[in-house]
Amino acid sequence: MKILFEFLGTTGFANMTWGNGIMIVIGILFIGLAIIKDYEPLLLLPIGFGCIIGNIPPIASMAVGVYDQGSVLSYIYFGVSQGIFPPLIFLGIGAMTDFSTMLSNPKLVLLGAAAQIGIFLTLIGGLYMGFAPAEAGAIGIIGGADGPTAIFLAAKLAPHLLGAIAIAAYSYMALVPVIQPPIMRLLTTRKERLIRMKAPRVVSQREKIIFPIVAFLICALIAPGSIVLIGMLFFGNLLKESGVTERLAETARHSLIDTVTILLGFSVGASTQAQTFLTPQSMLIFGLGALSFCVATAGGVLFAKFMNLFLTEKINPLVGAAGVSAVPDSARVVQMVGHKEDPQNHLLMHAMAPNVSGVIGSAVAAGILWSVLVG
Amino acid sequence: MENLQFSLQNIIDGQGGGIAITGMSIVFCALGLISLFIFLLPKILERVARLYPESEGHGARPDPRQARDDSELAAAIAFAFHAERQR
Repeated sequence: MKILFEFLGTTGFANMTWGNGIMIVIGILFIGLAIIKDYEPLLLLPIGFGCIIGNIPPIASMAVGVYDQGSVLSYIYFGVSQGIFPPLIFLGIGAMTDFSTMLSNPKLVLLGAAAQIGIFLTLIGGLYMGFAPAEAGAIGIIGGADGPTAIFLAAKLAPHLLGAIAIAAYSYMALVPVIQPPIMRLLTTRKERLIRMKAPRVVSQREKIIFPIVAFLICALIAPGSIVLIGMLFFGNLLKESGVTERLAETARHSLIDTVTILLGFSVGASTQAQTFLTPQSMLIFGLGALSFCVATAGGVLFAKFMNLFLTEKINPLVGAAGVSAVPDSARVVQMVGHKEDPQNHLLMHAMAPNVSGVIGSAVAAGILWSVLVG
Repeated sequence: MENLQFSLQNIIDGQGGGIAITGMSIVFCALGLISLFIFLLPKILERVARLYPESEGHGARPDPRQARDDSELAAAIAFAFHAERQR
């Protein structure tokens, strides 16, 4: 009987706290959103299940949790904490990205730059609230709307906030169709939303091959901190566009990215233990993350309106909202909002240009913040 | 991190303004240079093509997805047209 009571004392039921219970419910909520609402299921389902696993109360004498040395979960989490998984995901993203729309209309690249204002204004907001500069930088990157970049920078600058930042980043990415449209309508007139843009030109294969090489050199020489993310992004793209490494590109955009996504999502979820996640700082991070998204969207739209002051061929300002690098969701949102105003106006391909340039912009911004704020 | 105090002095102490302005400038510089390069690239390639005309890549096969994309695209357009007419 004594052995039985000792065993019962080590069970999860005996050691469960209210915080663990809340996090398990949040994990179930994420799974529900993924399956029922189809909100970013490839991310929310692994994260949700990881939340459940990470909040089963640990036993002191057994190394089973993410933060326990030698546990299986800690070895998987190593890829997150050391910033290994995000560059591998960027390799896959590069192998599936088509930069043609960006190459056919280079001025739209600047909209991707403008949308990164959300990152830096949120950094200021984080400093105002009393976060340390490295923490504020890690929180600000949520505005880049790029999950792997957010995880990469958080692992470098503020590993203790990685769970909250990752959950906030992926949650808001899933909510792009909810967050962006009101801001887009608020900042544009009906006349502006009806602007039709010229069809993109055909881009040659030589351009598509040369672009990743030169673009990488430009970004890496200006911001060396972005070498890893930008390098893998353009390496993956070159595998795709070269035409002679299709097998490698196929692996990168299917098997590799799927494997890493499973491990990354799951281990990030498992890291959100109640003791470290359910804190007032996490709530502030969620608030700042939402602000970051909104400011980034507004930044892209307003910059498009600013550019129109000087352009004869006007840009539809809605396209600026796609400068947040939630590929391709924010481009789809632009298409949806534009379609409601004019069913014959197809903005999707135009929106893909700032969308993919936003990926580059957020990776460059992460490299800058890492260089400036590390140590 | 434990004791967060809201204060504008935090921004000054953390050089928030300087980091933000410098960071945005660098992002615009990088993407601006990329934009300029993309703008000049067709012109450069046009001149190169006069010396080295573009040919089939060695060992590079035509993308088999291209034909499927065209037929899928045609099917999608036909369906959309049909749906519009039904309405």
